[in-house]
Amino acid sequence: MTDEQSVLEPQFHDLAQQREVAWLGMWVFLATEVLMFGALFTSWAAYHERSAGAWAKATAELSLITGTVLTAILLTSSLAVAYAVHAAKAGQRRPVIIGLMVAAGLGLVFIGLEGWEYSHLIQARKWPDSHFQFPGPDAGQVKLFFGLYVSMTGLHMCHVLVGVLLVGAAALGTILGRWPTKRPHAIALVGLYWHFVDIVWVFLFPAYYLIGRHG
Amino acid sequence: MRASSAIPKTLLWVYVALLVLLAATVGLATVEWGWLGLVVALGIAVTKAVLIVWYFMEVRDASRLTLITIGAACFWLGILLVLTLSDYLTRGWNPAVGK
Repeated sequence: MTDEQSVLEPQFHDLAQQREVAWLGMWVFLATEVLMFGALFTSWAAYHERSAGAWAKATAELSLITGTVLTAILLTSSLAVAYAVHAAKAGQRRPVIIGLMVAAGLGLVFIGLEGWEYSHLIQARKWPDSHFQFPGPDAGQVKLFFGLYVSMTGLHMCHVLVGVLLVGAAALGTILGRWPTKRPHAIALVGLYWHFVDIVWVFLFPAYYLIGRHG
Repeated sequence: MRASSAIPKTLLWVYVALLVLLAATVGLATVEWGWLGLVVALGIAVTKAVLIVWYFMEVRDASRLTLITIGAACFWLGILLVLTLSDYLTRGWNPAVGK
C-alpha cells in the first residue's frame, strides 16, 4: 500500500506519526463518548437497583424479537465495515464500496426499525409523555424506564445516523475515486466510529430488552 | 498477483462468535436467573465488546498509546460506576441515617 496520495502535514515528523495521531485522536474522541453514554448507563444502573420489579414489567412491553434483529443488524454492519477497512488496506476498490454501502444500508434499516418500535410504543401509550398509561402502582417507575429507553436509544440513533453519513460519504468518495482507497486510514477511522456505535448498542440491548425478562 | 477479495477468515469467525453470543444472551434471558441474570448478560455484552474492539477495531495491532487511551476510558467509566453505585446500592444499610 503506497502513501503517495497522503500529504505529510508540516507539523508531523513522518507519515507514520501523522497516521498514529489521527488514530489516537479518534480513540480519545471515543473515550469521551464512553463517558457520555457511561453517564446514561450509570443512571440506568442506579434506577434499576430500586426499580427492578417494575422494570421487569416494562421490559415485557418491548419486543425481544425486534431487539434481537436490531442487534444482529448492527453486528452484520460492523462485519461489513471491518471488511471494507481490510479491503481498503489491500487496495481493492470494489469490496470497499460494497462493504461500506452494505453497512450504510443496514444502518438505515436499523433506524427504520427503531422508528417502527417507537411508533409501537406511542400507539401502546408507553411513550413517556402525558399520554402514558400503565395500570397499577408501578406506573411511575415504568414511565421512568421508558424515559431512559427513549433518551438512550434516541441518542444512540443520532449516532447511527451520523455513522451512516460518514460511511456513506466514504463510500461515495471511493466511488468517485477521490479517496479512501488511496488513504485506507480514513476508512479505518470511520470504521472505529461505527464499531463504537455498535458496542453501545451491544450494551443497550441487554439493559432494556433482556434484563428482568424471564419466560 | 491480485489478493483475494473474500472476507478474511478471522473477521468471519469473530462475526460468527458474536452471533452465537447474541443467541446465548437471548436464550439465557428467557430463563429465571435472579441477580445472576444481570451478571451473565453483562458478561456476554463485555465479551462481545472485547471481540469487536480487539478484532474489528484492530486493537490487537494497536500501539501502546492506543491501549492506554482505551484503558483510561474504561478506568474513568469504572470510577463513574463504582462511586455512583456505592452510593445508591448502600442506601438503607444504616437505618439510623435514613434514606
